[in-house]
Amino acid sequence: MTDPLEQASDLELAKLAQETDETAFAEIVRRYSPRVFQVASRFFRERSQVEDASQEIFLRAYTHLADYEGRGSLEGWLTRIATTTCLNLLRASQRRPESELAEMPEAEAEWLDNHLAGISAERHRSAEKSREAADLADRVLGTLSPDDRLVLMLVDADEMPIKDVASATGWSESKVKVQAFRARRRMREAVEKLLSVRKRNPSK
Amino acid sequence: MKENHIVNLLERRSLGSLSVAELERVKAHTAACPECLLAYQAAQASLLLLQERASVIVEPPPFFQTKVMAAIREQKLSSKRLRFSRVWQTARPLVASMGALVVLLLALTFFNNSEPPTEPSNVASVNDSAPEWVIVDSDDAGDEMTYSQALTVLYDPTMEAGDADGK
Repeated sequence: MTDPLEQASDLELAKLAQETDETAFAEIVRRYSPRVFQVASRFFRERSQVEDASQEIFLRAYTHLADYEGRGSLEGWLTRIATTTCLNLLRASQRRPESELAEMPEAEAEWLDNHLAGISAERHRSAEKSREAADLADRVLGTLSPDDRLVLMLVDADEMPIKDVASATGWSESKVKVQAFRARRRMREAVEKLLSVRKRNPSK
Repeated sequence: MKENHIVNLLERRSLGSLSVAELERVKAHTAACPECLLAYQAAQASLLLLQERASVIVEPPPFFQTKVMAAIREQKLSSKRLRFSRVWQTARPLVASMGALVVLLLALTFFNNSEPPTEPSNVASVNDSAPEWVIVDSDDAGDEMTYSQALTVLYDPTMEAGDADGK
């Protein structure tokens, strides 16, 4: 026998959960955990951090459940909570100092060298190389502000439309565009510095 | 010319969203401009890094739902405790003053009961059967004689009534 809550629509679930039906909210958690984890994964790398952030997101959603009026999708509403919660958590955590960029592990340096040598992405897209690239991406993104990181991940990496990013962040569309413009410049400048170092000292 | 540099284009739009014609323009420019070539390589590397980073997705663990629901129950409990402590903070002076008043009333009741019972005033006047004998001269209230003086005056033959009067 299937659980009737599994068949319920998002709006029905939200209404039941608003009436303090815990099982309805448990169903919302089950349904949207993958989406919330996906958003949290954009901000945090460690599994424990992603899990903690996701739990915080659902706790906030539960607390603010009365604010959901069913105008937009529940997924969109949760994505917005997820984005703002992660942004706040990231702002609260310490930023990595920029000087750390200079001390690059050998594997990450190799990834940059391959890129400079023009080796195609497909050729060095093994699981190991992907991890090295993700590590390097985290190091570079760590030198940027949380807002820059957010906009780059959503606009450039996920190719989300500006309108959706504005909806997820609560920013205006023009703010998203300006933030993306500045974030691209800052990220490009950070990567340029690394590339310049690799060009000057390819053996290091 | 600086106006023809492609850096601004790289910042305005994501590299992935550039059209074929725009990319051709970028490539043509970078072939002759080393400054823009570095910027283009950096933009390419940035996009690759971001895409690799975006491919890292943590999956929810099996008991995540249970964990969240437990956290919600815990949050509810702690918010109840917090609410009670807030009410207590507000009501504490009132409760304390009421307590003090009750203690005061109890103390008064106790001390009242422990004192010996006092008799009514009319009983006291009956027991007061031996008041000091005083003979009051009705003519002069200030001229008083004690009981022994009165006996002396009445029965002493040597004294005359006039002497007794002091005349």
